[in-house]
Amino acid sequence: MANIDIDLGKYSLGWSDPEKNVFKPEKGLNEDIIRKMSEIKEEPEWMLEYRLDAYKKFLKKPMPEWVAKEKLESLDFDDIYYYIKPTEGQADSWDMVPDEIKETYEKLGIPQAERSYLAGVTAQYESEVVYHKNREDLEELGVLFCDMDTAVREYPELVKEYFGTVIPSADNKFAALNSAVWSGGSFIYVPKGVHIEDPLQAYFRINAENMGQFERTLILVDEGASVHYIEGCSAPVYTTDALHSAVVEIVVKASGKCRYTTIQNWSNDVFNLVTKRAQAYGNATMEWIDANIGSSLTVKYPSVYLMEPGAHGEVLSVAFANSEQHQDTGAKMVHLAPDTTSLITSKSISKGGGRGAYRGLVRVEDGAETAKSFVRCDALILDDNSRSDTYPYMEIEESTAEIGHEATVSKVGEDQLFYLMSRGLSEEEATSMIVAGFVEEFTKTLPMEYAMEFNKLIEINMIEAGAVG
Amino acid sequence: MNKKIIEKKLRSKDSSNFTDLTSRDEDWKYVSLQSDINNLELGKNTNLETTEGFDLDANGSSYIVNKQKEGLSLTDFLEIEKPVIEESHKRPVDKFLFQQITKATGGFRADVSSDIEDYFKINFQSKENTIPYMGLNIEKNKSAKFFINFGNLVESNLYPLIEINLEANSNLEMIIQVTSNHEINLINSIYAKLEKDAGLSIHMVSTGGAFSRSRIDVDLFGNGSNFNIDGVYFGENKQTHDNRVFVNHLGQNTTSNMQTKGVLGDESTSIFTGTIHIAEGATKTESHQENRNILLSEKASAQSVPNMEILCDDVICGHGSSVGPIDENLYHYVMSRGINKEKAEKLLIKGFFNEVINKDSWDIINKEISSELIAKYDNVLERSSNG
Repeated sequence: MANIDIDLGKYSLGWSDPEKNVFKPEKGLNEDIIRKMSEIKEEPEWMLEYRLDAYKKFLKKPMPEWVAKEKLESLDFDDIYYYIKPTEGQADSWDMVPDEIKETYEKLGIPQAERSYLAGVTAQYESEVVYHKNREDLEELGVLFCDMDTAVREYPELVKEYFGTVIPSADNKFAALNSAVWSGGSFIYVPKGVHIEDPLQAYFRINAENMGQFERTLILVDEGASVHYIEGCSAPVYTTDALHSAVVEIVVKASGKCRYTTIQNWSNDVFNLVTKRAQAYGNATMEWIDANIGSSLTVKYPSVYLMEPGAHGEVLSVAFANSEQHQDTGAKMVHLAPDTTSLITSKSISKGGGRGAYRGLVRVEDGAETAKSFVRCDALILDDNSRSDTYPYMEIEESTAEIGHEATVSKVGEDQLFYLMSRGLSEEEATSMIVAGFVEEFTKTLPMEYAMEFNKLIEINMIEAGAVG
Repeated sequence: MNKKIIEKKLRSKDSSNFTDLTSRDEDWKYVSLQSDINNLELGKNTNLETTEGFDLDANGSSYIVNKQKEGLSLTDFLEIEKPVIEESHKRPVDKFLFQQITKATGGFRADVSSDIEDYFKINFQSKENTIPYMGLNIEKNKSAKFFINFGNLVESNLYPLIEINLEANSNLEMIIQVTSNHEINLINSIYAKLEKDAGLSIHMVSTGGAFSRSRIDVDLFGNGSNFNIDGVYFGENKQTHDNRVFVNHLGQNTTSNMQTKGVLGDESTSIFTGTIHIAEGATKTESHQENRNILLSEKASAQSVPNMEILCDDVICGHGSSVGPIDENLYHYVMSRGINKEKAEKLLIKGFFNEVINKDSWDIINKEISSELIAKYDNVLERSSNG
């Protein structure tokens, strides 16, 4: 990424390859499809039962009414493929990956990324992971990093112990749907005391028209261990709605540390309805770093349950809502133990008629003594058609807890623009620069290649919808 | 009010349009709802006492004017032919408000046609559950002050429905004080509509009742209109203080300011939710919202949800909210001057409220409220040291 010239123009990440699938069931969902799916995946009986049970819960759960009602009503669950198996067998070396899929990754820059920098690549292509290779030194440390389907087969005890414990299938309608039809996603186990220096990475794409993707990720960070996981998404541009509904569960044991970075750039017709939750135990740290640029609708509130004393949670959320986009993002912090701390920073930008919303919850249970939490929300609103909402919920049951929340909404400062333009920048360039500065807190957490890519994406977003101002 | 007015207000909604309210409803969240909220059982008050120091006594069925004010004319509820507000712009009607509108038991409309410089003081009393209606209309360029008291004579549930219309360049200052020492539910629904350059200031005190709630919807219609609300609340025993303030900035150059502060002791709880809504085209809006809570006792709790919905770019808007014990640094500062912890806490609680109640506009109730708040604080302290 750093050494190659990637064109990140509007359509460069939005293409699709001719579909070449071995198995393609009909649209819609029923118990038979779930059974078939489970059979093809050679899953143990408990997983099939878990899926079928979750399916029943999915049918019972109502659609959420408090967010993007109109958009959600347009979602037709019968018009979605719930499982597609892309190629026969799983590739264990790069040569075995089909050419067209390789080309796809070429555009995303994955081969270079792997050679030059990244620890391991798990690329998800139409539901199931097609290529996965772990760096050998990680294997020596006892780190397990594979796709979720493999994990169910190879590490059944570990998976069974934690799967669905952080996010039960009855949590919400979309978590229930994912629990019923999940496919792919990553499984990571970092053993006690192991620190993984470089970030682990996975790329996801949705390829077939009306293709839903329901990946399921489980990350277990054992005592005193640490890991940084990066997830980036891009998708081909299609006109009908595609649904992406992932579930990510993370358990960080005592004194462990986990950072989960997401750069979400689905094409603008995707519904991105994701449940992400982590449990942090004694003195552990969990950080969600979450950027949302793409999709038609994103509903996502990464959360941290602070289970034991000293646990710390952080969410840094960046959302860019452009024309016809609704980014409903935020964070949840649930303080369950004394001396727990949390920090939420949210930056949202609305432009061209887009709607950006921060929706968050800080809950301090009785007995979580001297818990501390601070929430900071800043929103930039770039024109008169756009909208910026802030819905911060604070529920405090503990008298010694200290909770603060501050928020501001503003437009780009005229004096800032004037300053930059007096130095020869055009209004567009100046605005881009101010927006990049506004989200710098986020970009500086990223590895350099990602930071460059992200700044480029912001720039494209600023310019593609015409003149600013 | 006549049927026609009621129909107009409800825009052809009838009771079948409304589902029962539960604490799952956003507007009633965090409230442990009594079932009667969905089916208000009302009575009729007969004995109306005249209370000293007040200009008007009202009990939800009737009212007595003790002292006439020049420039103020009152119309009995049953004789109102024109409501002070024909139609609200953004005010949502739920099952509770629907009942208030359709079942209002009495009240009056007040029209102000010349400036009222001293507070016009209204004392509410009730022995049976009632829905008093109060419509206020301030004519163009005029200003008025109203003081509404829900004191110890409020002995049963009261569900006041208050509508305020401020014509161009008019001004209203209003104190709403809930101090009843009875275990009652006081549920206010207040709606205000402001024309060009009009100004509304509401000062709220909530220390009484078992459940004291004010839902305030303000439409800043006219360009240059402004709304200010400040308030204090103190919870003891199992009290709930529930304040919901919704400000809609619809005109240009409008401003709003909210500042509410509360202390919660024993097992009391407070709810503050508010929404600043800035409509498309409402440029040059400036809006600030602040809610601060101190939790004194282990079982006290506070919920704070300061929302913003902004559909316009040329605005200055911000909010701050906090829940926590008294700042350790402040303790340190006061105690380093030789004051013991107990006294320091009292001093700091006083100071916490003083930021609101020491403002000029609080003058007429400042002393009374200050000692009421401290008395409540002493109660909480005594209970906690006893057990």
